[in-house]
Amino acid sequence: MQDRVVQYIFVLLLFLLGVIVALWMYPQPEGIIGLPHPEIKGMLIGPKMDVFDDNIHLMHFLFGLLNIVILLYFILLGAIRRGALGKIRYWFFSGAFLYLVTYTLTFFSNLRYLREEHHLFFGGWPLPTAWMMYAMWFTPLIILIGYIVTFRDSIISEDDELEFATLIKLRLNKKQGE
Amino acid sequence: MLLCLGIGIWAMTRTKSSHDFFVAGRNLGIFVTAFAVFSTTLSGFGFVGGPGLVYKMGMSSIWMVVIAILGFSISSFLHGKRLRLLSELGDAQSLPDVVFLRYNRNSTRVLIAIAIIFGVLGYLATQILAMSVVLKDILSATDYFADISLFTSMLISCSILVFYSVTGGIIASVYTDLVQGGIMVVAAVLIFFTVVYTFDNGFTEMNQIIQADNAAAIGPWGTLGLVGCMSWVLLFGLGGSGQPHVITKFLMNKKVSDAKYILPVSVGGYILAGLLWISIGLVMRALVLNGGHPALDSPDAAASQFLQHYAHPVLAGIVFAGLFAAIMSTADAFLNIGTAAVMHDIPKAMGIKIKNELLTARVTTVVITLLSAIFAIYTGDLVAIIGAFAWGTFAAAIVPVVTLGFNWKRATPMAANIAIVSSLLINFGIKLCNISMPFGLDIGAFSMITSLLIFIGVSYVTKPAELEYDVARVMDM
Repeated sequence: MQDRVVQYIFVLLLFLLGVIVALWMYPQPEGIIGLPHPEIKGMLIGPKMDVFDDNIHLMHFLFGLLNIVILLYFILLGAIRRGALGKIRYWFFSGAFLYLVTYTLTFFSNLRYLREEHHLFFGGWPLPTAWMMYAMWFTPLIILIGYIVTFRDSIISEDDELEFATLIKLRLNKKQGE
Repeated sequence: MLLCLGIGIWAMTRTKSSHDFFVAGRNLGIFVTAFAVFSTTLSGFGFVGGPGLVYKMGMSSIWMVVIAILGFSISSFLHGKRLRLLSELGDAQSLPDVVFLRYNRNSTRVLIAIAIIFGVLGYLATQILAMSVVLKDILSATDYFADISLFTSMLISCSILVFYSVTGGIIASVYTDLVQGGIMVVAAVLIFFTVVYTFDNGFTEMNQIIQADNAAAIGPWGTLGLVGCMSWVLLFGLGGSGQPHVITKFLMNKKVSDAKYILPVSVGGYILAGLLWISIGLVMRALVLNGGHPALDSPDAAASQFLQHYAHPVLAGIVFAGLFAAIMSTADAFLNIGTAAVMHDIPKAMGIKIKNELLTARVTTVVITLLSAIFAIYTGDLVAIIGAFAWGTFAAAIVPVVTLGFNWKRATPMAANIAIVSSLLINFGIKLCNISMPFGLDIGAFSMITSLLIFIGVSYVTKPAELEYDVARVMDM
């Protein structure tokens, strides 16, 4: 199973590299990564909405999505124990799904935010930023809680620890024998 | 600073061997390890560089905090067990020691050590620069040191740092991390509430000021844009598992089962301490925009200016104390790792025996500090930018070889060697040749992506090393 996960990581990284190459070849609008503030030294301002076209939006969305999926696959790699996923899988898949949903909501909410003059605030932040601060930040807690709750089933069991103690003894004996 | 020096002297009495100097005798408890993990991650970067980037770019850099839960989880899932078990199995004193155990090649050990040295010089430069900037800012407010230069502040900083690191080794670093972590958590919460009350309507008013000036700055991607922000997400989320100063803490805890508690404690600490990064940067941007504070000479001054003008003096003093502790403990950790690479890992790989390891370690510490200070003076970049580059250097070299390689039996030593070399060439090549990255893509993230692809690809076409029976068993656990 480890091998299969690594193969998926490889394919995802290739897709990500493809998006990067596409971005590299696409004409970069001026100021898209910030412009000097007209009055304040050391501060930057973001670009206007009209520098973005649909191709840029698509590449941006894919870039972000692929990054997140790659991160989640690395967690999956670490969650495999003795070739299988244990009870952690329920926590992992629900956390991963919600995380992808919140990323999508943040992305599309931001598109609308930058087009509108009057901006809705939630919890002290503009709406897309509220998605980022309250949802994207804390959704991975589901996976973290799963790590704690299923530690002995999915990460390391007491039998593993006993076996490890035996391996240590064998190695020490081998060293002393040498 | 005096407290840190005191911890350094106390640690010196507990440091009897190179084993104590490098891995704290593999005897740390849950809280010490957890606090060491999160506070060494945050360091001067989080106190000075982070607020500076928020002041400059708006919400962009806050993704480095937002990704923390996922990032720490990745490190725990991939390292908490395997790295700890392998290090105990091989009685490792350093990360290259564990790498040797996994790949059974001295060439891989040497290359990882070289990558570590490059990253250490850069990251240590960040810490020295952060400490010097803040020290200069504090001292120049006094009459006696009103004209103190950055160079003089750096000389003072380096002297204190060297004494602290040379006396205490890694034990000084982790216990200072514990103290520093505690200070950061408490101070960050107090600073957060101070920021909330700076404006009548708290965060809403503050963010509306920023939005009125430029809506994108307070949007989720800030002024940098999505590509830059999400490349930082990848770099800090996955790349965190390739930071030697963080993951070597996993070599030091008493029991592998402690990982169950280390993760939530370190995440909780990081989230609370990250409030300082977010709140100071935003409030200073808002204050400057609405004319409440003059424009900053440098974004790196955001934290010290806020603390000096808007925080209660006692709170400001506590935060500065935490800041210096953060810088000193992280710098010590880097010096420790860099020293291990120079006088333990490389000589061991070449079959050279060092006489009096402890004395040689201390001399090497001094030399690395001086080289990093020179790099800090001549680079001219912001604290956070140097830090991000150094972070990327570590991530690109270590994530494939350690994070992936320790969890995938098919990984080969040849792939490891090629990945490390290519990561350094790509990372430094892009930086030195000033190659422009598209749409704000981070150099380190790009290097990490390419070195991962190279590592996996080469592994599939080369022969895996024969693993020793016990190493193979641990990799199956």
